[in-house]
Amino acid sequence: MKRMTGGEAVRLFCVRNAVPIVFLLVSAIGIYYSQFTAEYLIQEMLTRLARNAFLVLSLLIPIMAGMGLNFGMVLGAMAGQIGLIFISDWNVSGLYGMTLAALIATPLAILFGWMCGAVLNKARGREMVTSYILGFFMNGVYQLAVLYGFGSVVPILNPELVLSRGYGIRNVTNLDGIRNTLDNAIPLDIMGIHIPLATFLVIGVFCLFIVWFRRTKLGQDMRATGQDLGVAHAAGIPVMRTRIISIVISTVLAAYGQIIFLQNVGTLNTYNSHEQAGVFAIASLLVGGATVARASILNVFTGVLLFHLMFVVSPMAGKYLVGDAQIGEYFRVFVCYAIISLALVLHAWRRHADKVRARAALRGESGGAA
Amino acid sequence: MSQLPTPVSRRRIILKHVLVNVVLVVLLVLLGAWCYSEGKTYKITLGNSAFTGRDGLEYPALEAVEVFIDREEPVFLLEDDSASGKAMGKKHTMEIRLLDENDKPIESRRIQFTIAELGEELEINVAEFWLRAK
Repeated sequence: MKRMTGGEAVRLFCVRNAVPIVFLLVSAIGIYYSQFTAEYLIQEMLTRLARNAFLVLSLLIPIMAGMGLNFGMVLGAMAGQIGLIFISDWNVSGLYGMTLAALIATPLAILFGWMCGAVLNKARGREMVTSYILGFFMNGVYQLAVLYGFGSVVPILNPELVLSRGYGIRNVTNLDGIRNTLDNAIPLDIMGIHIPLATFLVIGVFCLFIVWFRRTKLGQDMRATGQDLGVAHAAGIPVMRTRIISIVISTVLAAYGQIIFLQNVGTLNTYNSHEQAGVFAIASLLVGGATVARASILNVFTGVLLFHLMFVVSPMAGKYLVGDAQIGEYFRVFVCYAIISLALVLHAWRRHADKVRARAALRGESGGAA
Repeated sequence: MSQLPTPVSRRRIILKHVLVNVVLVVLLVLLGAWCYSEGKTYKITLGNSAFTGRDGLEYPALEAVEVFIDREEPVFLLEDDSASGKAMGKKHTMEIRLLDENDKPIESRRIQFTIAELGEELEINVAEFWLRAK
């Protein structure tokens, strides 16, 4: 086989990192037109990185186990929200409230994760679409429980939470008791920019956990399962159990991620927050250069920064370009969904290019079609 | 000849796993109960009115005060005024600052109280606590 020339290496790099490069370019144009100051953008990026990184990190483990992007993470987000509804009802505030919400969410997330994992084992090879639809199904169950069960079957004592008819949770739940609790737990301001240090420490611990987890027996089993299910099974790895565990871990972490996310936002959109969580987290990871089969911690941080940079600058850029703030808002929604579509299309294109290149290399041709 | 170690029975391993899981669950429940107890936020009604002391004497309300519960945002109260404050957990420290006509603090007193001693209504007469904090 021939060695790659410099031009081919650059081309390969561009192919491999096509998604982040495209978004970096579009964001750069957006920054120019949006006219935001550097301080504002840095503050926004730090806030959004702290808010979203944990949720996005929760997607890494199922990818490691070869289960693709876990659209079923919304189940974990629902569990987290149920925990938050309870602590709002009981008036438990501060870090105690967050911990209690996490404790309530944990068994629910384990249950949901186990259910999701068991279903995905039945739908091997089609995990992403199955988990996506499972998310819709569980969304219905969640809405049924929260809209009809809470306040009737499940006692809710706080009248501010319950709808005027006497049961069901209101559309918006105020999280005043835990708003910015973690973000402000260790106050740090540098040159007027607030840094949510405690949240970053939690995210750092999570990153260390992932690094450590990859080296454990279970982590190695997951990697083997992700690479080849048949070979892993032949090697004596309980592949189905391993896959379920990966989804359970991801779902539990997504529940914690949603709690961290909502403590930053300070308001729980009872019936919609979890839907947004899944879409945005997956879009962020894809924008960071991750694929359905490979994702790293670096992809998470790159993705969150690029995706949210785009998210911040696009409405203002749209406003200055077209002259209407409302169009900027539409542009923002359009950008969000377009990002996922574009990332998936680019991912498919990159896979095809990789295959063509591999075939060309096998034949002894240099470069191949990229 | 040294004997080979006897294999641990499967039943014993399962029992050990169950025991560890039960201990974990109990610890998590205890952590939850502790979080609930320490993080529960109570809405306290703060009043500033005249009252009759245990000695049978009538004590007047304070002219103007600023009340801090656990160093949180202060509550400003005039004579015969009432407002609500929040307190997280069971034990609290209340700081009462007596203000002059220009709303400048002239004297400050601290008193500790628990939620249990406030009764079901969770009411505090600041004038009474001011006297108690002497």
